[in-house]
Amino acid sequence: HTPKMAEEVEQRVEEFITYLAQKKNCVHSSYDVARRTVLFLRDIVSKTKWSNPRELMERVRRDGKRLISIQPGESTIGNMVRRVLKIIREELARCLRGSEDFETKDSLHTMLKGGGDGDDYSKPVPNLKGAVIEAILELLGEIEESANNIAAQALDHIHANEVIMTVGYSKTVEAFLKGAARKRKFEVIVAESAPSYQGQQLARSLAQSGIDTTLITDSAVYAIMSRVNKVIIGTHTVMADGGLKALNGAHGLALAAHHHSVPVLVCAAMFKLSPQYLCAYDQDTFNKIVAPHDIMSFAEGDLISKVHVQNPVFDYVPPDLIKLFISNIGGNAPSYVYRLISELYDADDRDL
Amino acid sequence: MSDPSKKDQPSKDPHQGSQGSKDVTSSPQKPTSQSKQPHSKQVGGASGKGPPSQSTGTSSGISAKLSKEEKKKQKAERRSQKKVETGKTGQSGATPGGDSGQRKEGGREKGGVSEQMKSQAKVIRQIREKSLSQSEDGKKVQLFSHLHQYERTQSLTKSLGVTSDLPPVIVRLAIMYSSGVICGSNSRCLAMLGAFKKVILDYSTPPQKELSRDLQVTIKPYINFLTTSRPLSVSMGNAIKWLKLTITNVPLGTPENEAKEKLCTDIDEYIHEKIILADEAISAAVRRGIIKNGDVILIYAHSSIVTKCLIDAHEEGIQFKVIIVDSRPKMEGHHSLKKLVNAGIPCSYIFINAVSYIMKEVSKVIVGAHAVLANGYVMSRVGTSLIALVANSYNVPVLVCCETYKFSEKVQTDAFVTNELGDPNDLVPINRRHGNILSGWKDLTSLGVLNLTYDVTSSDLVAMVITEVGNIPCTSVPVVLRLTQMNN
Repeated sequence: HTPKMAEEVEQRVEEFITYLAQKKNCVHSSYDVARRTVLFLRDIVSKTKWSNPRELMERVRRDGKRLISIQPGESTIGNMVRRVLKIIREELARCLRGSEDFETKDSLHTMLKGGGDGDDYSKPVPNLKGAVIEAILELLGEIEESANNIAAQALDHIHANEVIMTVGYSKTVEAFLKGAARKRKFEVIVAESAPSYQGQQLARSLAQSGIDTTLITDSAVYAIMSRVNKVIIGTHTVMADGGLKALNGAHGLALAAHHHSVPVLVCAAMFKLSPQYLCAYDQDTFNKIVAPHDIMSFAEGDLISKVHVQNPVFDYVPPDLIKLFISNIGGNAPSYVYRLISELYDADDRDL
Repeated sequence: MSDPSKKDQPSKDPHQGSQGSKDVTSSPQKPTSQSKQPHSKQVGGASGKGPPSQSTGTSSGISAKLSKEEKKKQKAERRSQKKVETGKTGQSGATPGGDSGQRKEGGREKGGVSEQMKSQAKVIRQIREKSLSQSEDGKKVQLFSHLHQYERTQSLTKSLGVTSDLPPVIVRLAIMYSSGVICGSNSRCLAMLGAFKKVILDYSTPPQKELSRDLQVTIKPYINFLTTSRPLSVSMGNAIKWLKLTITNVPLGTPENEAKEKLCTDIDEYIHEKIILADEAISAAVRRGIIKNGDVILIYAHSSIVTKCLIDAHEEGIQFKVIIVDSRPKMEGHHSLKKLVNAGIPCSYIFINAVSYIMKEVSKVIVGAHAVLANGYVMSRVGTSLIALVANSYNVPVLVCCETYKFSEKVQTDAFVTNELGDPNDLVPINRRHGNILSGWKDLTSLGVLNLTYDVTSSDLVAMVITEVGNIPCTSVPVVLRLTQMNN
């Protein structure tokens, strides 16, 4: 481990921070962020100097917190950091005990035994580095394949001659619909999602692939809903209660679908699953407000100076409005999300 | 092709040039020096086929062309017959070059009601074909293929001949409707009644005709012309029904000037009672009981009655804030925003997608209506139902301000059966440096764009309707309708 490597790592951190701090895209693509985070963490594991697991975990935690502080809204960073920490713990257990230890700390056995943490994190373990890097690469592979895995399930959810509604531009949903369109004939109605106009881009992309698409305004969502069979949306994050942190307008759409008893399916990969809850309906820490130039251009400066214009980016959708989560490991009900979280993340890592 | 051309020599020439081009658009380009030609071409090409002929005009194969030729032949024969007839009964001198080609004018002068009806139908068809609003290449969404899509493809005035007998005030009105200069239920109704007042004042009863019957017949094509620029709103429909009733009730034998004056005063009274006083009453009701100090009111798009209520309440000294929700493509909320900001009311402005973000701060939602239907459903600008739904989920009451003259006997449960399809091209411009995402959307066959104008909010989402007869629940609307019918 040379100083040059340490420098390299520092450089990577700076690059990543610059990428995150970019204001060009209001919301970074979660997939991009997840990939970059995982690659970055792999570099930390392979290139920094650490002697025992505790030091490694400390380093990962520290760098993770540094990244999260740049963009607190990007929960994907935190998710990946927690995944890597869990990987480290698992690989450590495997290396020490030589077998898969499925017992979680909360198991009845350990509680009765009164034992605390069975593993000592301060002892250096020889094979840990290789094992951790391998597992991280597996995680990376899972992330990269998530869109394809979700799209492969499309035929199970879409039948012939359906009318599907969606909003915003989720690459997962785009791959999902295009995957189903290969074998089924259906229609898609896209709400244009002003002021980001992502819906317009999605409509164009779908139409270019030959899917019958209709573009509607956001205001017509309720009016059209009576004709829709399914609502399929993507999301930015899946919260720990099964709710969504999705594109603005998704709550209205989910309410309209609920009112007409239309099922809402959410296509989200596992890296979007976050152990955070919505802490307050005030949404000051939950939401992100961006510049309103798409709503009211600065050309109307006279008016804009007297008026409070708001342009929130996200929306919270409560779990009772959602029927199904389609993720790369299969379909789940929102009520099962807590179980997935306990499998993916360790309880100790919940607060980094 | 040669035989028919020999028969109707004078009318064929414009045909030859325009065979390959679309039916409707070719006529305006022809110079009106031969004023007869465009008219006769229209009649020849379209009669007996109706609206579908325009869309099939260019794409029709040779067989369709041939059948058109045949029909033109028949038309020409009938025309020559009519020439003989009208030559006998005498022509109205209303327009120059008035001969059989000008059958619109001729129609009114022929004796017999059935002739009149037929010519009326022809006039209506002619107007429809010349109207600006029908687009030949309009891409319509399948779900709404039963509705007409209004696209601004060409200028209205170009398609009208110099010799059209529509009064300029009506033409002006139609242009203002279709371009969106006059928008909103009340404004459209007021403008229409004003235009009809002018028409009545300029009207002179032809000899041997009764004003009460003839005026109605005169007005009918004007109304149809207005419909081609934009469908009649419910308020306009009710006003026209009332106007026709009032005209028929003019006692026989009244001298013309007196009758016209009486009609104008009646129209003024109607406007005053049903619109102006009603608005005052609604505003007073809102000030008195609805808006309280510290309220945060949410309004949607632009409703003249709602902005009036808010401005009046502010002037009375009630402290409240307003959140204006706006949506594309009409962006009528800007209009409301300007009015309220100029009145000094603290305002916020958001797009409709952020409605669920902002709803937790809102204490009341007040919206206007295009019409309230007989089953208690509220027909209003598209997006109102979404706002009402989100408001309900946050337990915020939704109030609708509506004058009773907008109550309709129709019933409707969804937004599909009757609606107005706006121009889909309005959705394309998005004011961004990088250009429009949807430019050239018509070339993508799989892509359709839908621009709805109205939607229907169910009565269980609306807490109360505020009218000049009181604050009533939605379900009491048929009661009010019955009472007003009884009073009439």
